[in-house]
Amino acid sequence: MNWSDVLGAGALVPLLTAALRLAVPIILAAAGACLAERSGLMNLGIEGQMMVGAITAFVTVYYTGNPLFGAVTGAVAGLLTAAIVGYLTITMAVDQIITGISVVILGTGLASFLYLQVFGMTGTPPRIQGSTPVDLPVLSDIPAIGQIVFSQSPLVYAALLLVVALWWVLSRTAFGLSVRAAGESPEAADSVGVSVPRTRWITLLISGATAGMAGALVIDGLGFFQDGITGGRGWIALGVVILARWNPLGAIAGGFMFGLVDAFQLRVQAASGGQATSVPYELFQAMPYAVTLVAVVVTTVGFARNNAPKALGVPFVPAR
Amino acid sequence: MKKLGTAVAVIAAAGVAVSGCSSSSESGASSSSDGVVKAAIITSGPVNDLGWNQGMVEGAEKLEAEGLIDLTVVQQDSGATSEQIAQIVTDLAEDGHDLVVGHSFNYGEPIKGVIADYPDVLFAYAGGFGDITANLADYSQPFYEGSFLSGILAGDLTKSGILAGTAGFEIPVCKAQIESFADGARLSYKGPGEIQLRPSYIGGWSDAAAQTLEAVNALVDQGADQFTTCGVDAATIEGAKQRGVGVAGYAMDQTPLAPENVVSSIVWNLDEVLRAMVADVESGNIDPAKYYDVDFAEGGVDVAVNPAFADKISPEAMALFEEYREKIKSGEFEVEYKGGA
Repeated sequence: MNWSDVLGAGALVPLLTAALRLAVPIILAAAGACLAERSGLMNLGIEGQMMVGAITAFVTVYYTGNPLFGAVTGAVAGLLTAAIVGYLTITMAVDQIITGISVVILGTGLASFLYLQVFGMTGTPPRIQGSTPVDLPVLSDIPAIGQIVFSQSPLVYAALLLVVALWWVLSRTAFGLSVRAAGESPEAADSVGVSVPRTRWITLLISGATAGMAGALVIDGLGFFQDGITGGRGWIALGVVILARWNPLGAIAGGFMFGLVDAFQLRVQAASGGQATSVPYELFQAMPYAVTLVAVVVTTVGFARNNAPKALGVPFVPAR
Repeated sequence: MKKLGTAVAVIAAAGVAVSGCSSSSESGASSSSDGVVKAAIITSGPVNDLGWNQGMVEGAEKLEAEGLIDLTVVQQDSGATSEQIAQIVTDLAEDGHDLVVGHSFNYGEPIKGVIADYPDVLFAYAGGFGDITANLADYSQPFYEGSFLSGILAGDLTKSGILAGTAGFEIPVCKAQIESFADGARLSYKGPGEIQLRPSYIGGWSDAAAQTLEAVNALVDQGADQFTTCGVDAATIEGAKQRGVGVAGYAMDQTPLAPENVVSSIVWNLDEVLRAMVADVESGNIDPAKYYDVDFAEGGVDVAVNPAFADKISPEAMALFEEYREKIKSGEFEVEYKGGA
């Protein structure tokens, strides 16, 4: 095969652009999950919240034609789905893992059900017009980087800004301090007047909203909805949280790495195709997962200090 | 994508079963005691996909309208696990269905584990290569014959000579379809150079839509301008639309999905396949099951050309298309099957 088709000067910008497109929903959902986990709450329901966000955004854009509005309704739908997790895990102190998985099942089924109910069987399956990429003035003229980062859809900018905002909230505000306290030592936080349930509720709703918006981003790029359209990105996002050492900015790096390897393998396969493939294509397909796995191991070993919030996954029942 | 969190994703996929049941009851509620064959279809994606699944459901609904079957449709997606499929198949057999069709290549293995318990039920799955065991039938997917004709049109329209094919996995039917697309194109392509074929196997079906879209982007970036697609049609057609290249529709006439990009569509007529199965169920002729091989000549597949391309395709290529369509129909020409063993 011709490697310049994948790594040549002309091919690098499309490769990195594709990587970013694949990565942004994962980055956004992972950043929200970082917050929830830092407050001590496992939001395993992300995949379900993404699906509900995706179908809600799809229906919204189908009827209004407005992708930004779709992202908002998608986020709201994700938030509402997360509220179920919150009621069960925070208010009722039910096991977080079981609850999260149930919500994935619920969300996936609900999305598929709604799609069929709203659109039914027709001669023309519904399609939407996703948001159009916008060139940011001046910035998009920067060679290479400009085209990759600053010629994206407005939803991508919004998502990335949101991730930075989440990092800022977590690391630079009083609320962020309460979040970290609730996740490291809920009893201590409680004793100084921080409401652990309230803090966890807020981070969980943020996580649900980011997951819902991530779902909106997925259908925005594709222009259609299908069962399983989020394709396990919610689970990948949970892996990226660990990779990111529970830091929203780390989620950008971790999510992008996954998107990059995925985009890379698709391009390598396309470039090598047609010539009696000596390398089995399954090897390409396994690449993103293998690399993510290695990265998780490397970061876990590399960061000697275990960064996992100490109270992660432990329900907190305030003393009365 | 589902591979990373396998253990947990397994449970995630169960959610689809929930919806499957909810969307299936409409036509399957009434039980038949009047000798009508109780048939069930398990889809591998939404029943309104204007493609693989809708084609099957519409074919079955045609038989239902004729009063031949009492139909139950269970909607599943390609992320369903083998355990889930085995459970659904068992439930359907327990429920008294006489014919259970798992409409996915992936459903073969789970169904094989169930068939022995229900020797009076005819099972079938979309293997497409004559994979029959006892009362488990297989039905052919002669897309490669239609794909050859689509290829003739693609060979005329391509400027770069680079043709691409997207498929979920490198399974025989998909491989054969993609290969014969290029074979057809070689008949009509005038150069420069020779037809190059670039297949891309995504590693998932409807659950790998975003990757499929990026595969199309990659292929277009590398010069491909005519596509065929096997099982990942929705995302491939969307990609073709976004990038302004030609694509051949899959399983149904998919022109409405991208009226300016879908050049032709391979249309699969499943009612004839189901009709033959129902006849065998009625006559009790189910073990050994058959390979229901309804090919192009027998009306199993055909190719629909998008009228918008009438003036874009050269008259020579159109004539060649018609010529080969007749030759395949009459049996004078046989499209070479390159799907491997």
